[in-house]
Amino acid sequence: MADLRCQMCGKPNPPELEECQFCGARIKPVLASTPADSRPIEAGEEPISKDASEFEKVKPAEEGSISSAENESPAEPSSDESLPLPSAATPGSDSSKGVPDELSGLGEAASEDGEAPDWLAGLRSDKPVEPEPVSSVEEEATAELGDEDWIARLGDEMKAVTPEPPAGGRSAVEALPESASEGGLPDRLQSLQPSESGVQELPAASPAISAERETGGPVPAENLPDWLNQLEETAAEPEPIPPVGGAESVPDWLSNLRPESGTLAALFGGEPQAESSSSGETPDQLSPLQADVNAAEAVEKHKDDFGVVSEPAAQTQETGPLPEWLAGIDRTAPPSGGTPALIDIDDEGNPPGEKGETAFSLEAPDWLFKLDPEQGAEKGTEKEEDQLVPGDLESAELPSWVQAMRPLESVVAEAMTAPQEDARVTEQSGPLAGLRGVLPSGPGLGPLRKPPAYSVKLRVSDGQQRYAAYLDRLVTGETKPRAVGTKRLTSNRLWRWLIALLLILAVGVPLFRGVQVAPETSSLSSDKGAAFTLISGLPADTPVLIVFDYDPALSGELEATAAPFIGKLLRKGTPLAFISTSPTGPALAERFMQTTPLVSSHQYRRGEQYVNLGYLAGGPAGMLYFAGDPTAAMPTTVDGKPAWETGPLQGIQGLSNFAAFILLTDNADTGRNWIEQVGPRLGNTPMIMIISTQAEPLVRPYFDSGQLKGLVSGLADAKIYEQSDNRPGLAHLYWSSFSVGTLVAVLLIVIGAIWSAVTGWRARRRNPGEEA
Amino acid sequence: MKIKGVFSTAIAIAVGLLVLVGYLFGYKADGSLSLLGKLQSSLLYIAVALAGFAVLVGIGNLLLVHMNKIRHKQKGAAYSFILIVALVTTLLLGLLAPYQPKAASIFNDSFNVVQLPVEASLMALLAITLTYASIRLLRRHLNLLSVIFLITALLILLGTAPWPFLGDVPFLSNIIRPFVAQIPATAGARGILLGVALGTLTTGLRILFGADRPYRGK
Repeated sequence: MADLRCQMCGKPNPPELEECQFCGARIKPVLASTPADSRPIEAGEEPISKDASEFEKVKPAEEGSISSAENESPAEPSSDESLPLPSAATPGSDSSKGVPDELSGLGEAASEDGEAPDWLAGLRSDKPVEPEPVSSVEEEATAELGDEDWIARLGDEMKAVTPEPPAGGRSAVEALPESASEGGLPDRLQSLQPSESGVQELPAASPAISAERETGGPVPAENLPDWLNQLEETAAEPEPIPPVGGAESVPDWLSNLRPESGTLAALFGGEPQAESSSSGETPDQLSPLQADVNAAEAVEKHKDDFGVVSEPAAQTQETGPLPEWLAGIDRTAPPSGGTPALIDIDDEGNPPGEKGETAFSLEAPDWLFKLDPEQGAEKGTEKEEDQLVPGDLESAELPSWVQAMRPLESVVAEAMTAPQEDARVTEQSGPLAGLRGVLPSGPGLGPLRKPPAYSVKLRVSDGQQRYAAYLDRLVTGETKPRAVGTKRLTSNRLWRWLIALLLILAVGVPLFRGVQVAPETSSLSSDKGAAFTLISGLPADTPVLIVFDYDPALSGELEATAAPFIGKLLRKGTPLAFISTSPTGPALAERFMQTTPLVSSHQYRRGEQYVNLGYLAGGPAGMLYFAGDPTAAMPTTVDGKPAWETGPLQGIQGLSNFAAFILLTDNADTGRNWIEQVGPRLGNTPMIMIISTQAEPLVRPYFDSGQLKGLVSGLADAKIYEQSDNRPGLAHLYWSSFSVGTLVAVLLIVIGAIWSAVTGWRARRRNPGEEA
Repeated sequence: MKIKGVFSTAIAIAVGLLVLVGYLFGYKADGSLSLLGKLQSSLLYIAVALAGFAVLVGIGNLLLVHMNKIRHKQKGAAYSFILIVALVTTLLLGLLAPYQPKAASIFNDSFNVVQLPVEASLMALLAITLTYASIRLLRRHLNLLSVIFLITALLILLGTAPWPFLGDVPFLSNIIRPFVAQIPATAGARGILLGVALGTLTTGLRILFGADRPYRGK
């Protein structure tokens, strides 16, 4: 034989070499076909006996893997009875002995594929296979294989999913129709023969050819295994092919497709019809996709015809009935826990949405879902035409079921973030050694990693324990109730009663016994006699306006302070008018006129000598309103009578018509309001203020500034005016009590303060943290 | 700003300005009220009437609150009952007082016998309480400020009242007490009052300028 020229470098190579001695490219798989093989086999031509394993050896790695994955994906729980595993499951055994011819080479081919692609490794690991009972033979074979010889296991699994032979020991292929074994074999069986050549004609990079393709070709009877020969005897007649009409413009194989298309249309609601029409437009070449699907359908059809496979599973209602070996597969089931799945699985064990379903649909390729027992016969004819044009397949046009068998990560990774170029890791060991970016290095594996175990025991240092003890002591001390000292409370209460008793005695004894212990005062009054002088000079017939704006609580001081001045006015017969901005003011005015010494003795009558205008509402606004128009602000008296038409106020139109304006108050703010609101409207009318001692510091500046013409403050000033008028009144009566009571209070405070300071100091000295 | 807000703001500013101008130009040269003075008086009359009505509203609210306490038998319902009885009784006596002299006498006696002694007694209790607090002051707070506070109180007391058998203490009554009352105390109080006056002035100006609108009822 002449030298073979390398397709890569173009240099001649000896024919016995399988690889180019110059560039290392493989030569023989591409050029290993004989001229007879390259010739298309015509219909009805006697097929040439050929072992399918030879072709499987030269298949590209992807195709071999695909075949393995197809047989691996069903993952039907098998038993020794249901799926008899041949004892020669090792890679070195003859696979044709126990399995049909078309699958015999898979094991060897798989075993020779030293470089398994990355996605194939993913397929193997992601296979959602339920733990199935493994026979002893298989266990031995697995033990012999070892973990690294995974491709050999693919062949075993492929055998495991081989259609179950009938009860009589016949395999599925043995149950073929009788016509298949004769010279008048059905076309679909005769077309099996050229499939071998068709496989050889495929380009090396074409992945479209699979083991299913060989199953569609005719096999000579002598080359058929025993089970296939028995199939010929017991097989029923081939199903009639539906008539094809209007086939002048289309090739034969396409005309055979039409009835099938109609059937597909009935099955898939018109979509297949469209596909069929589109394929009909293709000039005499069948789409590689469609060819593969048809070939697979033919195989499955045979299985169903001969009862090898049980009834289609109920879950195939959408994509067609599934064979029995696919019935037990739950497409939504997650992968087994033992496999390093590269897809996210939620908590319920379901794959994430539709992507997950798509990923697990790999277990049963789409062409398997399209299988229909009624279409098997028609698809057998299509297979013949499909074998004639394998060269039209392009390497980029993978069949859909091949595309569906891509690694799971490539299917699911659409939703994931594409790993960056620099993030890809080159595998250093294992079957994926040398491949780069095969396995996700970061994000995909993160959640799957087992979380590190941390000890639940708290590690606390001695210092931390000491601080914790301090904190606990502090918190406990805060929440701990303190014992209340009953004895101490009794002591405090006793002291209070004792202080009250002493003060009552100090005030009461001089008051009720009439003992004068305080001498007459020699001091001057606050205004140095200005108020007394002013009142003495007031006209007797002009009314004086007196404002009672003090609280009843301070009536004792204010009545005693005001009595000498009001008494002086009463002695002169001056008419009076009372008003108040306090609700209790009118009552206090009545009380003052009726009960106060130096006043009550004059027997002033309400409505005749004095007028009680009552309560003036509104505070400062009421004061201003009253100052602007007193007749409108207070038109009536507390008796309901007109205040300004008759009586002492007759002829008064404004505040300036009063002889004097006298304010009695205990509040500096009230006095200030009267000064601010009424003072500008008084004109020449003097304003005199009789106040409590507590208000003097704040009111005195108004006197010093001249806004007030007179200021009488407290009991001391009243005492001074009583002394000067030589008429003892309440000030004289209270003077001794005031003196003794104040002195006792001062003594109590001094003695008690010293005692408290000492005891408190001793208590703090005993216990620095305790509050006395 | 809504129309309602604009309307109320305009009214408030106008009233404020009228009353303020009434202080300055409310009187003619002869002492009679000018037009601005009359406007001011009219506005103030409305204010006084509203203030008097506010007192009535407060009394009514007090009555309702205590009636609810009695109705729901809450704690202190007995005191609420006493309050309502006293309020109604006093109100009736006050209404009858102008027409019934007997009712007027009872009305005045109820004040002189009940309210005034009660309030005076509370003031007396305040004297005892303050004395006791002054005694306990240095036990709880023994520091310089407490000592100063206590000494100041003692000086004012001793300078206000005459000493038994001694009368006024010459230096204390004539110099120390007036000095403490008029200089430090008044200075501090005046400072507070000046601050209050400035705050009041600012508040009034803000209301006049419409920056503050407390009359919106919110």
